[in-house]
Formats: sequence, C-alpha cells, structure tokens
Amino acid sequence: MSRFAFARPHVLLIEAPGGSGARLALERVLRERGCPLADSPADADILAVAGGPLEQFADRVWEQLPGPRARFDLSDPEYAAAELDGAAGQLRELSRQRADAASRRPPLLSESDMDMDMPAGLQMADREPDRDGLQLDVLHLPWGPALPWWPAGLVVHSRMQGDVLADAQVSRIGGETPAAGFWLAAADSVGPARAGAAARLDSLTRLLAVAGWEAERLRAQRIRDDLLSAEPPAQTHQALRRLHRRVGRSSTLARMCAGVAGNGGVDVTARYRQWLTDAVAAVDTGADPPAAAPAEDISGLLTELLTGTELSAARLLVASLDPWLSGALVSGGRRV
Amino acid sequence: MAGVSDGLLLWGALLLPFGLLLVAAAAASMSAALGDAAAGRPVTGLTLVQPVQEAARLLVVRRRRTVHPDALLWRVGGGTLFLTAVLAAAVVPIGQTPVVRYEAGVVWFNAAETLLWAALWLTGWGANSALGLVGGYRFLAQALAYELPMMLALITAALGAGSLDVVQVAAAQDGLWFVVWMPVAFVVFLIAALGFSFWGPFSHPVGADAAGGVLAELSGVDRLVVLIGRYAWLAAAAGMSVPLFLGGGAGPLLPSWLWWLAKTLAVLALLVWARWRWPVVRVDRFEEIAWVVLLPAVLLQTLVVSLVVI
Repeated sequence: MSRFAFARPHVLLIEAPGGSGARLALERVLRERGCPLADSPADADILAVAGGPLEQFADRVWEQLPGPRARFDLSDPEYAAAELDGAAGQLRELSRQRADAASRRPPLLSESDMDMDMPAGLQMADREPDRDGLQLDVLHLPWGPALPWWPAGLVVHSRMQGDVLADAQVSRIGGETPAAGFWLAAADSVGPARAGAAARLDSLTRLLAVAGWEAERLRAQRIRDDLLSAEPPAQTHQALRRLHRRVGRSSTLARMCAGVAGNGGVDVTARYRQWLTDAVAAVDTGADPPAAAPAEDISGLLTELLTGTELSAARLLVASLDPWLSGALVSGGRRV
Repeated sequence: MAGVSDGLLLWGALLLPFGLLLVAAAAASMSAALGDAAAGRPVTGLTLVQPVQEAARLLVVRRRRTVHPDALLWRVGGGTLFLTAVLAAAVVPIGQTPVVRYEAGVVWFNAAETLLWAALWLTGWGANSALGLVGGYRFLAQALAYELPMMLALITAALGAGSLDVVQVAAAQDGLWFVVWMPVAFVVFLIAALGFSFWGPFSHPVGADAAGGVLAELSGVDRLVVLIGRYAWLAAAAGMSVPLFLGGGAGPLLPSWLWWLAKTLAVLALLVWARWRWPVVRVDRFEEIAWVVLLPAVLLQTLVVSLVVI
C-alpha cells in the first residue's frame, strides 16, 4: 500500500545560497520520475535542502511537514537520485514513521494561554492606514526560501495589509555564495553559449512557475537540462525556438506581467522576453550575449519596487530579478 | 420539490456521487497525461492511475493542525465542495432523465455554485494562515468577476428554450444546438466553469505564487476532500454544458445517455487542456476583462436571443 501511495512523493525543495547545482540535479530527477514539487510544507512528504543545511530555518520548515516525512541535504549533485531513493524508502518504513510521529509536539498552545492581546500566544494584527489612507489590519510577515521558486537565501520582511506589501526590507540567510560559480563551471564544461542559454531558461522556469504556467515551465526545464547535459538531443534547438514562440508571443502571459515592476521602461514582460531572445541568440551564434543589470544596487531596487505591490505582482517581480538576486549575474552583466 | 420524476430517484441519488467521482477521476487522469507529456515522460497506463495513487498518498498522509485554526469552518468549507457538486449534478439530465427533475433546474445549478463562494473562503479562512486567507479572498474576487456573466449565460440558454427546466432546455435544441447561435454564452459558461472550479487559468486562488493559497495548509484527507470537490465541479460543469448548449443526449444510433457521456467527456477534455494551455490569469486583471469584455458581450448575446425568440 505505501509503496503504491508513495510512488511519486511530493518534495519541498529549498535552495541554499550556492546550491544551484544540487537544485538543478534534483529538479531533473524529480521531473523525470514525475514527482511533483510541493507548493507548501503541508503538501510535502520530503524536505530537500539543496546546497547546505540552513539549520534552524530548515528545522522550522521540517516541523510543518505532516508526516510520513523524510528529509535530506544535498550538496553533491551526483547523489540526487540516491538521496531521493533513500528518502522515499524512509517514507515506507512504518516503525520509523511511528516513532517520528510519537516524538512530535502539537503546534497548539493550551487554551489557558489565551488572553486578549495574544490569543493562543499569537501576535494580533495591528491597524494602520493603507495605501489609500484607510485604516487596515497590518501583519508582519517574512517571505523566504520555503516559498516555491524563490531565489536562494533571499528574505523579504514585509508589513502586509491584506495581500499588499506595505513595505519591504531585504535580508539574506545562509551566507553569500553567489550562483555565478555554478554557471561558470557549467560554461567550462558545456561552453559559454549553452551555459548562458541554460541560465536564462533557469530564471524563466521560475517565472513561469510563479505565473502559473506548468506546461511551459516543464518544457523550459527540459530544454535547460538538455543544454547542460554532455550531449544535448538534436531537437533541443528546435524545442528552444518553439518555446520562444509560444512563451514570447503569449499575449495572456504578456498581459499578466505588463506594467509589473516597471523600471526605466523595463517591466517583467520585457525581462522574460529578453531572456528568451538571449537564449536563442546564444545557441544560434555560439556566444553568450551580455546581460545588462537593472540597477547597481539590486537589493535597493527590490525594496523600492516591492513597496505597495500585491503578493502576486511581488512574486513576479522577484522572479524577474532572479538572475541578479541569486547572484547568477552581477551588476554590469559580467559573470563573477 | 415539484416535478420529481419517479421511483428511480432513490437509486439515482445513491449512484450519482459515484458516477460523478468516475467522471471526475477521468478529468484527473487526462490532466496527469498532459502533465507527463509536457515533462517529457512517456504516457503509460500508470499515468492514468496517477489520480488513484495520489488519493492513496493523501489517505496515508496525516492531517495537520495549524496554530489556533477555526477547525469546524475549515472542514465544513472543504466538504461543501463535493456536496454542492453532487447537488448541481442532480439536475443534469443524463441522456434524457436527470436524477432530480426540477422545473427551475437552471437556477438550482446556479444556486449550488454560489455556495462555492462560502466553501472556498471558509477553507482559506479556517486554517488561520495568511496564505490561505489570501487565496480565499482571491476566490471571492474571482467569483465577483465570473458570476454575473455566467448567470447571463445560463439565462440566455433558458431564454432560448423558454424554460428553466434543464430537460426542456435540452429538448428545445431539436435540430439546432444552442452553441450554434449562442456561441458567446457557451464560451462564457466554459470560462465561468474554469473560474468556479478554480482550475487552470483561473487557479489563482490556489496559485503557486501564494504557496498554494487556499490549499496551502491542507494535508492528508482534508486536502483530498477539496481536490475531489474541485474535479467533481469540473465534471458537473462539463455535464451541464451538454444539455444547455450541445443538444443534450441527442445524436444518431447510440443511446442518449452515451451521447451525453461522450459530449461531456469532450467538454471535460477541453477544460482540462486549458490548464496546460494558458498561464494563470491573475484575479485583478481578470476583473477588468470580465466586466469590460465578458459582461457586455454576453449581454449582447442575451439581447440577440431575446429578439429571435420574440
């Protein structure tokens, strides 16, 4: 029964800074096996941290997995499949899961902890004027790497009014290892053109996921993985051009992203179209085209643009700045 | 209830939930097949049992408690989804005969659908989580956008037949299906079906950008109940579109129930395919499209139909 039930375990994948290689390897294995990526801890059977332990943070996320549950940290991309097999095996170990369940504390505080200001020990929402000057509840929330498709190590602390970020402060967890190291190594092994195209598709993958376009997200992942493999299948270039056509010319996607996070005339739509154009140009010409950074101070730009946006626009905005936020590209368009 | 047909009612009522589940499972299988194809995996027999596998997984996974949830409303919200889908499907003629024949069946279907407003919002609210609440409010905003155009689409079909009885509406299409001269109403109904099933392009209430929104805190059987309810609504909507716009069980040679089933599965396939064809339409942008484009278009359609009928 549990072998059947957990044939496709759902995995919550968190990326630590410097974990790009491990994340890509895991994403590939999961796609090939048909294991869905979980949107939240509630939907996850396995917690995987790519590229490092992220200790306390990962522990807090781990507490929220319902169980049966298993976890692993992956630093060497080589072991992605083996680690996943091990974790899936743990899900089926009845005694292990029973012991795990017995050792867990319930998340609830007792009713006697109730008082007027902090029911169940929770902070109540404050009340402040919103962007239209009306009094509205304010909740302080951090947005971080446990969110699906979020840049490694980025944390945004915000005051939320409804689903609007009234303000935003940017911080980092898990160190400052930029993702550029991985892409440099990739450029050495498969050439700068293919690595450059794959890097852009990687960012596109996250944007498409946040925009809720699963089919094209999966196709973009496939092409990215093929470009990074030793010998890409013959139809890869054609698949990339088809992706360019379908995603680049999609009027629905363009309309959903237009006007979001406009900065000097460049909005989210313009950014993902540029990635597609660059990726196609890279594989066509065999050279990695340079990418211009939207600003010198990317965290500052993020703070500025996030303020006053609602959640889904904020997610698109963060995804559209992914190459710079994750450190895959640095200011001026040079790879580190 | 006036106009209940005959003694088959009891059997119909007993079998209806299971029939609905079967059609819902077909939708889930179709979606799994499209997903496997997009990911570059071979589509096999195993792909088609994926919904059963997923259901088994959710039955094994433990339920979860958030801090200080509104547990009662949380569960009520989830359960209401499937319950209302069964209620809505009860007036759909399977071939010629619905489980419950009701003279205002079109309104009944609509009434069952409006209960989703409460169901989804309560599911989002009950978890006491910001993400769930965001999802719940997204659904309310979405409903505000699709509800009026959908009501007008339903009324247009009823107007064409001169009756609110779904059986009469199907019978009135003898010779000419309503989809031929009410294409706008048909398309609006399908868009609304995607909307109230929070499916595909209109799955913003459960969007990945809000970590699953309404679904963010649900695990185990609680999640299963909501997902089944969602597929059941997709199935009910596809089943209802057939008597409303596609001539009901009419067709040569085959028995009418088989024609109804074939047409229902075709519409269902279209709805499922939409998920893989388009990105999510964000609620705030859908609002604009619905009020500026859909509503005037369907109003015009109603006007044209009323002129023809007169």
